[in-house]
Amino acid sequence: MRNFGKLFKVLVLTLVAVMLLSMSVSALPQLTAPYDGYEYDGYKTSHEAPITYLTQGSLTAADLGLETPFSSASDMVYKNGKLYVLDTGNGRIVVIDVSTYKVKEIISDFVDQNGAPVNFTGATGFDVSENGDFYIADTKNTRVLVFDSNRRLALEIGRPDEALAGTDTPFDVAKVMLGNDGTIYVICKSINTGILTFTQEGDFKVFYGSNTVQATADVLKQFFYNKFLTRAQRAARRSITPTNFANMTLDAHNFVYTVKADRFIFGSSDVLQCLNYTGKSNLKSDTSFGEYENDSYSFYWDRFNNCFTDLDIDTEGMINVLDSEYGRVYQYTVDGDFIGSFGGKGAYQGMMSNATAIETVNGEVLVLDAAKSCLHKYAPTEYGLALRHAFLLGDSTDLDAREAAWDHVLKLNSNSIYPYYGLGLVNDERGEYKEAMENFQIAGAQDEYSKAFKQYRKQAMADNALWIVLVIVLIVAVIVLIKKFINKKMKVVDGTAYSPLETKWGLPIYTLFHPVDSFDQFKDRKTESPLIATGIVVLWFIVDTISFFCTGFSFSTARVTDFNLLIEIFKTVGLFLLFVAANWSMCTLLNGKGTFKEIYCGVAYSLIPYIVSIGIAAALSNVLTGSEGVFITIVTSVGLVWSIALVAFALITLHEYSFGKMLWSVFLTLIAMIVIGFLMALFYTLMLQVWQFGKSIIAELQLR
Amino acid sequence: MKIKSIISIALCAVLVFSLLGIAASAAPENEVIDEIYELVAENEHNSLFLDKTTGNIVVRNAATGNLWYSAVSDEAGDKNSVGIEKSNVKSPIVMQYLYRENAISADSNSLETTNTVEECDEDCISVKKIKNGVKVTFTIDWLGVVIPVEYVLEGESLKASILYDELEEGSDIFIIYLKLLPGFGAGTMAEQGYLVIPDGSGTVINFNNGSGASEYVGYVYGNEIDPLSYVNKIQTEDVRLPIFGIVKSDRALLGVITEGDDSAAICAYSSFAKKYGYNIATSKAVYRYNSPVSMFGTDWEGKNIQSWTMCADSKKYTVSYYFLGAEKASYQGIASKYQDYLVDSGVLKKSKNAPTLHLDVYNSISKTSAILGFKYQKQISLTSYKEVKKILEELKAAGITDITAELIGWSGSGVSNEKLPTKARHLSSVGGKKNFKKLKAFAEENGITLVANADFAYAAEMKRSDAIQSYFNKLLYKYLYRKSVFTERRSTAQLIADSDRVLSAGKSFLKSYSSTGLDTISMDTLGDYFYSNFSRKAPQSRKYLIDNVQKLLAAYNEKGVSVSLADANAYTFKYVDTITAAPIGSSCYEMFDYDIPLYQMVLHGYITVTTESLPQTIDEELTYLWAVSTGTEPMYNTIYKKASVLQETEYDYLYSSTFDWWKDEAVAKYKEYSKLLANIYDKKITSYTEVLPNVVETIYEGGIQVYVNYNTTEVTVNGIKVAARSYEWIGGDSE
Repeated sequence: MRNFGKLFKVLVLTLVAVMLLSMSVSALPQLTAPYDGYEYDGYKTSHEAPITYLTQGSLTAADLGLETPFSSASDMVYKNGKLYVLDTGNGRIVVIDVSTYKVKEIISDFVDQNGAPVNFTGATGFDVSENGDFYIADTKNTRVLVFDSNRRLALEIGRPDEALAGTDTPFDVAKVMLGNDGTIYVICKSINTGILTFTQEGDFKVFYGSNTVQATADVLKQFFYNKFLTRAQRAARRSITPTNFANMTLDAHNFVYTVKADRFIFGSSDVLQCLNYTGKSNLKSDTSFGEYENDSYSFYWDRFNNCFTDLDIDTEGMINVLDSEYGRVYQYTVDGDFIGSFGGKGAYQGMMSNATAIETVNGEVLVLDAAKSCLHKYAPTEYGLALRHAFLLGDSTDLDAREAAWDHVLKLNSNSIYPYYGLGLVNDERGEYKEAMENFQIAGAQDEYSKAFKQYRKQAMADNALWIVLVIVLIVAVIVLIKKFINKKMKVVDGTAYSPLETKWGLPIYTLFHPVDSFDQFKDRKTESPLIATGIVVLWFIVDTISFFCTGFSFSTARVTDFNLLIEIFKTVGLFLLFVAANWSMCTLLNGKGTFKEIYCGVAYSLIPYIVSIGIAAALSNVLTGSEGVFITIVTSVGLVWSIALVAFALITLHEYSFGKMLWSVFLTLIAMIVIGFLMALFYTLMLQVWQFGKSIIAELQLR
Repeated sequence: MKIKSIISIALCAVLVFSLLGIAASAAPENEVIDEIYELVAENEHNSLFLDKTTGNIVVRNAATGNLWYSAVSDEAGDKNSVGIEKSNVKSPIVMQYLYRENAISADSNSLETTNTVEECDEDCISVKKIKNGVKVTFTIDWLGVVIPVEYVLEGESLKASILYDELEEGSDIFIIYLKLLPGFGAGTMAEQGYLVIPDGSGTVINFNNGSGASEYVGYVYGNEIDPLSYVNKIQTEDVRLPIFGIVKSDRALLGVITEGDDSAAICAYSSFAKKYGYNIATSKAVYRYNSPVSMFGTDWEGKNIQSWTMCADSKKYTVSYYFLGAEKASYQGIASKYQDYLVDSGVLKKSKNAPTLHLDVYNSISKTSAILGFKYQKQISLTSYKEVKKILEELKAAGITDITAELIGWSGSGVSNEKLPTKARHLSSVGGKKNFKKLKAFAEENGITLVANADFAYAAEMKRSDAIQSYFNKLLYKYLYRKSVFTERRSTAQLIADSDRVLSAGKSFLKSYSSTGLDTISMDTLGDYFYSNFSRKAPQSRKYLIDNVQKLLAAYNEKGVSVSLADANAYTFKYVDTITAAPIGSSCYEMFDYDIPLYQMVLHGYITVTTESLPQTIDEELTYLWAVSTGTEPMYNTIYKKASVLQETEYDYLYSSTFDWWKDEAVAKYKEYSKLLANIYDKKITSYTEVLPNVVETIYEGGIQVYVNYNTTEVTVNGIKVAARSYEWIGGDSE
């Protein structure tokens, strides 16, 4: 008996073991994801980053315990601890328990006042109140239905004729939302004058958050371009009518956030808005949402086209925006800092096909996918949590905690500019201005750099007061000496007709103070020197280039690689030659007496004040802060005005014009410059066409 | 007492009957082979039967008595298959082709599909007996196509081949793909089991998981560059092993592409409503490949011209099938059988490399800088030789000297080549020859392995005749892609050297490499370097490339220099000692159920395999645990300077590599792990199972057992307590 019992035990155990092994559904860890993480730097260039949210799987009908899968499910609400999904195609609302992610209830038994069932198949939006009332945007029947917690119809809102008087725009309700004060917000697809608001009794209140088209340069450009494009091309372009909101949500403070589908709308950049009670946006006006880089090499306006369909503000105030075009969720802080994006489109794990709604539940992000009929779930990774934590510390007074949080982010992702910015702020508050400046420069934060620089300069000046005084004294002394020297040289020595300065080499300096006399001397003594003139123009080029590289960070964020030699040459030497050539050619029309050589030298000599001012400005930019930029402007203005005056004198003297004629000649010169420029551009495009034609011929020959 | 005995007898009876029931249902429904199959060959391992009317075969495995059909019949499966899929899965050959007159404008969506069951009846199939097998020739008269197939029993395996040199395409069509025995060993809709696919590290597709909406196609060793695509949407992993497996509850099938793997793809799908009625894993021969060109630009009205060029370059396309019984009916069994195959064919030899902590040290990169607007490439030192020595000294002070330090970017123009390297010359910006000698001396004294990396495959500039081109003689480039909008970063463009140039550059480099005094070299980029050169002046097939790469690796081996590659394809296994940055996951397609370390299991004990760089993984802790469960050695990208030096360079993939940041954790973890590694580095994995949810048990030859617990709570397995997110091991020199 005993042996039998033992044998029996062994048999049972082995059987159980065999069954367990063969039934085991393996869940080995997933170490990779089909999408990659990235962030943008101050120059709107993307860099690799660790991903912020990792897919936790896609819950299909089977996973949720649903018999019929979702059909074109288009909206989702998380309220009262439950997740409600509007199953549009099946005309029902599915309630999911978020602790088990299993279906709790299927609601399809709404009735009207007489008890007859109400069909809302095709409804694309809804909301749930705290006591279980349902607000449904019955799109197909162009009405908003309100059901109480007993599933009975309490209110039906039809087309508010008085609000839409004079138009035949249909009341095609798309989304509906319940405000905290009972206001019912309704978005209609065809109504672009704003969100329609109704009272709890169903009366129309106002249009909320109305948007207008601002005439900006883009709009004007679009207007002109449209004149030249073919009908087909015009159709492909964007229209300038304001587009409507795609969706809306409330945050914890009951602010209404709205999102628009289209990112590049000419005339408005308010893709995402936080509306206050008057309907004006609270968000910083320079925040931008969506991708910042182009996805093609064709024209400027064909940028990466996000199509936002929904947004959600999570419990910590982070904004999550859902883009159905690329199947991504973009996360931002309230200040518009881009935390990261995740997801994608395709037949990969955790990627969407047609994303229609987003909700955040217990720190995880849920996305409703109408095409794949499932819920995608995402949870933050270590990096995602670290980044959020650091941002949420914001400007708390606990500097050590902030430093630790940003340090952690930096260690996980050294490409990110945010930790540098965050650490810079900490340095700043601690009084470590040099480190702050370093960090701000890496982060590309000009304003903060400038402020820190101001403090640093204060310190540096206080520390080195003695040296600074000495240097100033030295500079003043040098200036005085130079002035004295020039004055001496300008004195006419007994016996000669002209001062020592009025030689070939000294003439440029003389021109600065006695332009008319100097230009007269061009004609009389022929002391102008094209060699020196060329030298001055080249000097202009050099100084301008140096100022590009040596301007302080407070004034210029240009990078070493942004420098374009060709453009620089054209800006200086090219512009000069163009002016001189145009002016000389115009002088035949106006009986100007200047020769090409004289004009060439005259204008060149006149450039000296401007060149000097550029140099001084560059030097100053390294010791001044952004707010003191007015000094630099003064310096460059003085230089520019002085140079322009000299050019005017040159033209008057060399061509023997009157003042009025000189102005007229300048005007004509400018026109001539435009004409020459246009001809050159034309020539260039023509050559380009010839070149391309040749290339395609060669390509075809190669293929024979 | 009496009641107890009655109850126990009753329970026993139930047990016995249920066991019998299980045994009965496990037995194949058709134990008896249909009469239409004739015995055509037999050896001690297998018997081969052929159906002369269709060309289908059955193999009876002697050891297990199992029958393997190339045309499985299942009522539910046939009902669920739709259209041509019904007969595809029952044909020995499925052909995808294009009509020649359409070829120039056709794309991959306009392929026609047909199969031998549809096209060939008994009269069009000729059978000829050959040694140990049979040759079956299929003729499709109306197209003029002749496809000769051989089935041969060789040792334990069945070798099925398509004979390329006797294949006739006819004059009307281009044959593009040929699938060989697609339905062999297919799983039915009622069976339990899974498909083993070598995508990336390896992955499993459960039978009937309902996500087989489209077929998985993974080009073996990677796909060609598409000259028209400038956008790379998703970064996927490649197939590195030319194998596939079908695992059922009591048996398994392993297919190894032994010939023609240079131009092949692995295909798989699970059953899917109203489309596929079976679960298959098979392979297809890629006979022709499309290398298109775009004329008149792509802005508007661009037109693409296709060229379907021959790319298959071997005499035969051969798949060897191995028939496994219940004890090997798992993905670990598949891995172990493939490992046996590699050992038997002399590709794998037992590892002699003691385990080490791997550092991929980046020495120098080039950054675009400018003087007064004149752009030039500035060399920026990330880790000079002195700093490498400092790193090694710090690790030594922390108690670790079993280190392999791979130096990347120490010569030429840094990490990315300006030109292909032909001479080993130290960059002065990282310290020059003098400092290198000091570093090497330090390494030698302390038993640290120094390896230097050279990239013979990619460079920013090279002669046009040395670079790979498309069929229309357009140069092909390799890029890094933006992760945001998926476009290429033009500044990272590199030309790809053809294999002749790679061979000559590598050989010439070898001459000066001995001056470094190192006996190991790493050629990271050569691991997954795999392209056809379609240029019409000097076309080179991928088979030719494989031969050249093998020649180059062999040349180094002969000179006594061992080779390390990154993410290496199977044809390099014979010549390498170490494979770094082995894939840790798959392409994450929806149809995959979970990833498995197939690659690691095949190589463990023979070739040293490291993980991808740990600081850049999604979850470093989890990846480290996974490495422990597979016996993989840890690898870290390393730079010494502060990370901000990488700003505005193209090397943002080196984020968080600064040594100071990860060294403490890495040291602590490796100190523990090295104790285990010392016991297992040269032992095969004999078992790899999930014994409890999220707890994996790995058993090595010699009996060492490792338990890895991925849960966030403690577990007890086999009497051993394993802490949360931790591991324990017994056997060998454990405490």
